[in-house]
Amino acid sequence: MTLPRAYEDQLVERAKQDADAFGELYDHYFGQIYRFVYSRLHNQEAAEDVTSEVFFKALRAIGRYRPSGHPFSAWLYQISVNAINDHYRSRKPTSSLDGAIAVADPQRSVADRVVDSVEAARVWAAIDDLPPQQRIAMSLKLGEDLKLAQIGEIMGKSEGAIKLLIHRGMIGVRQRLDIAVSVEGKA
Amino acid sequence: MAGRGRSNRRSQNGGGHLPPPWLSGWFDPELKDLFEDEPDLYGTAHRLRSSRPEAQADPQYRQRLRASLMAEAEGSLGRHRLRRWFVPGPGHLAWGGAAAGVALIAATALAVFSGHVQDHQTIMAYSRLTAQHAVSPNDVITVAFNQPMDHQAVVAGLNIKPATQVTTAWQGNSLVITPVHHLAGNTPYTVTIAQPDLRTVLGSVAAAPVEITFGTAPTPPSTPNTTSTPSLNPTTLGQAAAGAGLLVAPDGSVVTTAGLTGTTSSASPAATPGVSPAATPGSPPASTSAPSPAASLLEFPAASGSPIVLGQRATAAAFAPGGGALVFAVADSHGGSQITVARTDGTNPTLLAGSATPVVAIAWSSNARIVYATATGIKSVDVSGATGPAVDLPSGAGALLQLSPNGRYAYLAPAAGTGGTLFDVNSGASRTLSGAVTDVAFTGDSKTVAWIDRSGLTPRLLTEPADQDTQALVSTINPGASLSLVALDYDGTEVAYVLTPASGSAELVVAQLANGSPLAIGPGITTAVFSRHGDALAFLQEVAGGTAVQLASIAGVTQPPVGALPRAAAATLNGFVDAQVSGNSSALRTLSAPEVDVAGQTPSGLTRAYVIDAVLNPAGTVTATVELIVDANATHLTPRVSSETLTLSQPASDGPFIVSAMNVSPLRDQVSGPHVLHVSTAHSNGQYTVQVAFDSDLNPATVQDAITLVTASGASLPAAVSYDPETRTATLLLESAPTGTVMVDVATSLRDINGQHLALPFQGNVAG
Repeated sequence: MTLPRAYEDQLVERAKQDADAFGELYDHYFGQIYRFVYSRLHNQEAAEDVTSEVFFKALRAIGRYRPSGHPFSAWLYQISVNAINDHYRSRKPTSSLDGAIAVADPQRSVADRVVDSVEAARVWAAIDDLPPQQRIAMSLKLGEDLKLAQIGEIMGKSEGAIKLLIHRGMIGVRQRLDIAVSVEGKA
Repeated sequence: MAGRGRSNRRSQNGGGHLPPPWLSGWFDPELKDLFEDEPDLYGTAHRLRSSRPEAQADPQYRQRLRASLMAEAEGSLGRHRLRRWFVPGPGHLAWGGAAAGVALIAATALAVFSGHVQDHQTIMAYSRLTAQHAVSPNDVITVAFNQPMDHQAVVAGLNIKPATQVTTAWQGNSLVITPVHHLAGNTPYTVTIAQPDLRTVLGSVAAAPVEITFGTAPTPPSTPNTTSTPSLNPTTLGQAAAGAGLLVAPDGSVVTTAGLTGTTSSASPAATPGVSPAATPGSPPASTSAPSPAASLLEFPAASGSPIVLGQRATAAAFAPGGGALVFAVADSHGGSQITVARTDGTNPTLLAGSATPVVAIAWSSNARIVYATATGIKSVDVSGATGPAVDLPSGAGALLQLSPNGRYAYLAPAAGTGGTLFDVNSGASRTLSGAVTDVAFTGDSKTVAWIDRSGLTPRLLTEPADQDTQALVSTINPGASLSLVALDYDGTEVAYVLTPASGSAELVVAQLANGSPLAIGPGITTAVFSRHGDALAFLQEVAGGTAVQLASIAGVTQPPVGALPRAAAATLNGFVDAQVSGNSSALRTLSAPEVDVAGQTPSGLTRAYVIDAVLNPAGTVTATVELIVDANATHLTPRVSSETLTLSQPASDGPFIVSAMNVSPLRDQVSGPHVLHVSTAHSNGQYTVQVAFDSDLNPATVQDAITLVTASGASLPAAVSYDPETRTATLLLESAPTGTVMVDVATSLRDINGQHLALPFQGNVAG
């Protein structure tokens, strides 16, 4: 998924004054960024809004970008993490009107909603209950297959700190899945 | 139970009974190292990794975002810094898909001998239309070069097939080619610039020609002529207060921002129906006899029923693109506005934001975000109430008057002088609309803007893509008359405008935007808005003592496109041809008799088709001639066509028509010269007209002698022949309807404006 470093460095330099080069970066990284944003928001419209924001911010700031030894994607993920945090900070408990109406619909039973949920989504959703830093680190590692060092670059932390976040996060997910299994068993 | 469930889950996922993760295709040495002594946690990691979301973005969203980014990039980086923009690369592939990208590169990247050019720069050219199959007939053709070109030479080498009269202009290094009479709908085009004429200002010459191929989107069938244009037959829904606005809900319901409830004024052409109780808490109670009713946000349901009060009188309102919500702005007691979102029936109103100054326009940029504007600024708020940053308007512009439906563009009046400003909210770019601008309108998809230019002796109706400074003139049915009020439908297929001749009363015209052909005529009105599908128009009409809210269907859109055929036959014919193009084998089986080998006879790779003619035979069957087309592509740079003859029959007298026989010729390269697109007939006012539409601009002097009507015995029928260059249509007028079989013959003496002859004689069915 990563472009050859030398080529990517040239491309990024060109993109500072060349719309087409930026388009090439967009073509290469759009899928990754959208997937990451969606994995955090679970909502297509919100993911589209935030993904748009990420790339517009990147376009407007690319003139100030300086290579750090990490792939260009690390910078895009960094912008994404900030945009996702902004999104969560700015929203109220419901993120969209459609979502609000669906959740508030008293006609749907709890059983229906349980039936609607699929196992994969349930497992992955366990990450959502983690503290924000653990959540981001886990998503970048297991959702995007990034190296610990890259995650550290994105989050502004050392590799050791990222290891700690992922370790704690994994314990948290393990506990949450156990609780979910326990409830499921009782039902 | 709980313990057993927990135990089972652990045994499946805890690590002990899992296959090694690397056998499942995933192995992360860092995590393996991190959880080396904790197999349960490594198993959890494996479980998370294997169930991670695999979200696929909507390709249209991806493409739209790319286009927006590129537009902003071009604006912010500046033209002088875009030399590499023309170098074809993977970025260009995204515009038309992989196959299209190959064609684009093959067609538009030109290597030249550098000769004496100092920097040995390669000549490159780019057109965004390349390999597109549904270009709007209103569009202009832009060819962008990466260096200054010899303008005269390049224009001299320009050729367009089918023959199309154009004007050319240069914007920097871009050649803008504007068709004088719009492009023909549903037609493959090839734009060529000859190699010897591709010269730079420094004298170097390209090694290969520019060859751009694209196809246009279909347009609705044209009506025969203005004398037989149907009149709108509106239904009065109710009354509105002065200054009311209109919108049409996705389900077809009509909403006015200032409806008057409970009135039975004699001023209204029809009595206002009763009003249902107010649905919105806090809204004014409904009344059936109030002498001075307060205006309210009022809905007239698509399904017949009483009007519904959705809220207080609004200064602006808009439905969410998904159709699930309505947002509206209501004036508060301090001179500002309050913005409320609600369900489309007005229930669950939620106050989202307040504005210290009146909100003049409101729009949805997505199903969750609202853009609203005051005269001096633009802001946004999402449905949870979170506000976005204010958008700075361009300095020196006048008051903001309008937002496009998606909130992307704003129209600002000129602070002084004549030209208003079209402002791109996303990129911050702005440009001046040409002329003395009034009556600005956007299409529902926000891609096209139209306005009236009053800078000349007679007003002109202009249109252009919202993201391009390339206006085109829309033909009106009375070019000398005064113009007012413009409305566009969702995708730029139709336009509505009001004509006021020097002597006579104002008249509403609904027309095809592409060629100006009128679809319907109505009374003079003050406000109009199309339904989502363009098959109805809601409008406000001033009547004695008040303003009537009216709704009319547009017959030209809902009528079958094949003349006087039974509606069931037209439906089958259109459905069958559409299914051939889309490759819908299930629909083809449904619409044809079992013995017809549709799959075996239909050419593969079709990109478009059009019904040339269709006649109802005395025996009740229908015979139709269809042109099947494969647009030019990367492997075949010439459009290919196949002629198809279909017979439709109706097994049961009240049942559907099916295709009972078909005959298809092999695909062949489309020959140069004009081609017949469509033959239609109309009978009104005692006169019988036959119209023959062409894809090329014709030499008018060759039309009269080349087109004749003949009977089955070969006898010619006397007919007056005229040619309308605006619609590329020849009209034959008979004093009475012919009897028996009649055909229209077009001889090869017919020539286009480039002198090319009709390649083969054409004979079309007029009457069975």
